[in-house]
Amino acid sequence: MNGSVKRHTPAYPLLLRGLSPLTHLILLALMITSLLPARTRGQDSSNLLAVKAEFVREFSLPGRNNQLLRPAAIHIDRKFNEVLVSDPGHNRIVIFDDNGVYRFEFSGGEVFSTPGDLGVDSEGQIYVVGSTRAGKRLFVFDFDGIYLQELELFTSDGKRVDIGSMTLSEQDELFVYNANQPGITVFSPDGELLREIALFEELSERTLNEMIAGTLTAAQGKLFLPLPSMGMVNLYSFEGEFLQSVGYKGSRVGEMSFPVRAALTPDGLLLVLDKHRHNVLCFDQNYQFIGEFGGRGFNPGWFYHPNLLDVDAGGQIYVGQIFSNRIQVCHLPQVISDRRSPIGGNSD
Amino acid sequence: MRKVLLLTAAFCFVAAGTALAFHDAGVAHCNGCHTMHNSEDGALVDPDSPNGNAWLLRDATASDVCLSCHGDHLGAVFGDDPLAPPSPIGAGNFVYLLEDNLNDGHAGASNPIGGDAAGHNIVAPSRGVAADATLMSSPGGSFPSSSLGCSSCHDPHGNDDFRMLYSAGPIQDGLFNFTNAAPEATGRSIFGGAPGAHTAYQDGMSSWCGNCHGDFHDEANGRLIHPSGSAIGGTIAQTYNLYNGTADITGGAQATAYLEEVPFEDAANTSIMSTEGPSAGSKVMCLTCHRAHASSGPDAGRWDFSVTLLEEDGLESGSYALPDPYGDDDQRSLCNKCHKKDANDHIATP
Ligand code: HEC
Ligand code: HEC
Ligand code: HEC
Ligand code: HEC
Ligand code: HEC
Ligand code: HEC
Repeated sequence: MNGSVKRHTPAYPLLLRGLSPLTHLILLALMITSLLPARTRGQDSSNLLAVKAEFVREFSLPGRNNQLLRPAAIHIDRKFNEVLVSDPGHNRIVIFDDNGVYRFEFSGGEVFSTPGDLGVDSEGQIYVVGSTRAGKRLFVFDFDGIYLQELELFTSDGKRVDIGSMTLSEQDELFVYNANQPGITVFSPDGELLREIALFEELSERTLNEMIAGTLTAAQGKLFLPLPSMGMVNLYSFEGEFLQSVGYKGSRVGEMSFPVRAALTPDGLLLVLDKHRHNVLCFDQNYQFIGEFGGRGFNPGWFYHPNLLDVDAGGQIYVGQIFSNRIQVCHLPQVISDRRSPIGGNSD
Repeated sequence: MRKVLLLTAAFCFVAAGTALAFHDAGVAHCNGCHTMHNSEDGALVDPDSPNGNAWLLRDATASDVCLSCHGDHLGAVFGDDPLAPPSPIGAGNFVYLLEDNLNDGHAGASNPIGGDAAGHNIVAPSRGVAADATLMSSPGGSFPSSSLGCSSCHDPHGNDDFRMLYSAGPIQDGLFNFTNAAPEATGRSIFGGAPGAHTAYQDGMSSWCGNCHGDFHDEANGRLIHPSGSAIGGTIAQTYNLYNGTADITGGAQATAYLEEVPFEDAANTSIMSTEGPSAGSKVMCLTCHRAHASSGPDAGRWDFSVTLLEEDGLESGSYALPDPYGDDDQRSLCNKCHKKDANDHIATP
């Protein structure tokens, strides 16, 4: 059995390596406690930390046969208060206002066959990562969906960037996570290479191979890169300096089992979407855990393997998933936002 | 559910005895997948839908967890665009299950064959795929389609077999019993590989598929009656070796005849880089013609069984055209690799 399990070892035990046998026993004891019947434990102590989502509404399109099919990205343009959704099942981008009212849509047409990540620059131009037979490419549309051009992205050694995920900063810099050679490549809005950020140079090849990166997000001057298989989110400056990691691997309240996406509320709270715990973890401005909301379920306000997340200018939180083609809008629960520390202060 | 958790704990105590095993099979390792069983433990679960709707069977939804890691990464077996699949490793891509039409046969555009026919419909609601709507169980056998998931074929806890495929014994918590051993083969690394690398099949694939399909293509089953798992003999081996495409039926040579699209089993197939064709004792087997996961042709064909010229693939249906290994507009069906009937193609159009 030992030899057999060895062949299937994801990367995260990395964090446990180098601990003494005693520490292991303690960890084990903790883990066993965590396996005690859930209801008894959860009810008293974690009740306030893990709460139900405050469901506001679910997105829907006009017309019965016109619903989203396998939504692949949500991007909220806070400047123009628009919600953009990639809809691969119909190869289109659908635009709503922040009340969820359908505004317009445009198609990938002959340009690409499946849309993915989205971004909007300060002039309203829309950036779409689209899949083509030649691979994932970046395309630009004007603010009402007229196709403008493809941005061909190359690294300094002339290699085409293998787009893992793409995000646009408030300063109109394009950040692309390079899937092939882990790192972030930064471009101007017209595709000119600005700088390259190498990541994870300290990791062994094996660990790198096994590591999975979530979707990169640029927000409020920082880059947030979730590392699902390691159960944490790494923070970098726009220049590429590693700032810190938030969260650690686990499946209990406050822990990350498979974090896939991060987003910031307008007042700077960090939200992290956990695909395997089916919920949203919330951290204050100092990145202290202040609670989590949601959980697995199929009724409104519950999630099933959610993988899309963004927040609008009014602080409404959008959570998307492929199952049932759902995008749900939630409020940050009061008990959680009450727990945030005053700006600049310590957490209570 | 409780049972699983307690067993999990017990296992970890045993494993803790040896430090190395603990590192490799550590606590974190289990909860990489077992949050699906114990998410009540860490996060809330809707009390009104603890097991989801009837569509979400507990066993089957394990696939959603596997796909978090293996969908777009680590082998990328479920890409996000059926028209632009990730480069294949061996088993073929599940993304074709999302196709709306696979029919490239005569008038295929107006007689769609849906993505269900692309191959094995793993039940994976997180990717928008449900059990096969037409095949209720495995043709030729009795495996229930509603329980088909990654862990119907792969042992989620790992084993030493090729691709961690199950050997004889109970699977999926006793839902079904395999009677035949795991196949012997060597595969390319899921982390990448040199161009030209392919699975080297050695033995036992047909009987392994037979765990669920019996001896498919014997007289009792499909439209095609065909041997699987038996030696091809000297004549057919020679045809294979000489065949170098419709345009060059006798110009090939054994040393370079191997075609990834039409593989065969042989104990001598030890290298994933081998270009060598078969000998008389090599065997035709299920994966000579099928992909194990799915393909963009109906019935998980390694090439589209319903076209006359490979060039026609994708034209009627608009689905992904499986690459023609010979790159020739006049190339006919790859059945010809062994039967060289190119002048008078004998493939039935379904
Ligand atoms: C947290 C990430 C993760 C999850 C979840 C996961 N795997 Fe894996 N899997 C890996 C890694 C990493 C490897 C490669 C390392 C190794 O072979 O030990 C791997 C390897 C494999 C392989 C290939 C082994 C080979 O021959 O190279 C198969 C097959 C596989 N996994 C099946 C599954 C199935 C089935 C599930 C769901 C029950 C699953 N995996 C869930 C991370 C994961
Ligand atoms: C790659 C995903 C994965 C990992 C990692 C994993 N399991 Fe499982 N486990 C499953 C699935 C899926 C099942 C459901 C049964 C099935 O389909 O065979 C399961 C079932 C079980 C069961 C129920 C009995 C059985 O075998 O059906 C036990 C006990 C168990 N797992 C213990 C563990 C322990 C202990 C670990 C860590 C050493 C672990 N598992 C790691 C996926 C995983
Ligand atoms: C665990 C049981 C199981 C094993 C093992 C298995 N199959 Fe299947 N297979 C099924 C079931 C169930 C279906 C019907 C549902 C579906 O098509 O998804 C099916 C369907 C198929 C189909 C028809 C696909 C379609 O939708 O038209 C083909 C072809 C096939 N299998 C080939 C194979 C081959 C080749 C192997 C060995 C590599 C294999 N199967 C191993 C269970 C299995
Ligand atoms: C019907 C049986 C069956 C099912 C169901 C199945 N696999 Fe496989 N899988 C195989 C076989 C057989 C191979 C080896 C095929 C080959 O090399 O030709 C394989 C190969 C793989 C590989 C190696 C890479 C590759 O493409 O060859 C990975 C990773 C993998 N499977 C993961 C999965 C995951 C994840 C699922 C569920 C989403 C799954 N499999 C469902 C039979 C199955
Ligand atoms: C010589 C090529 C070839 C080999 C070898 C082969 N198949 Fe097929 N298979 C086909 C073709 C062609 C079809 C479609 C025509 C038909 O249904 O008979 C098909 C269809 C199927 C179907 C779908 C039937 C349905 O009702 O939709 C299954 C299941 C299947 N094969 C399983 C297997 C299994 C299991 C093996 C190994 C024991 C195998 N095949 C070996 C060529 C092959
Ligand atoms: C790897 C080699 C190989 C490939 C590829 C292959 N066959 Fe065969 N085929 C054989 C062998 C071996 C036999 C049995 C010996 C014989 O009858 O000559 C056979 C026999 C047959 C028979 C006679 C079966 C009987 O017993 O009546 C038919 C019909 C046939 N093949 C059709 C096909 C079709 C259709 C395809 C493509 C879907 C195909 N073959 C692909 C090797 C192959």
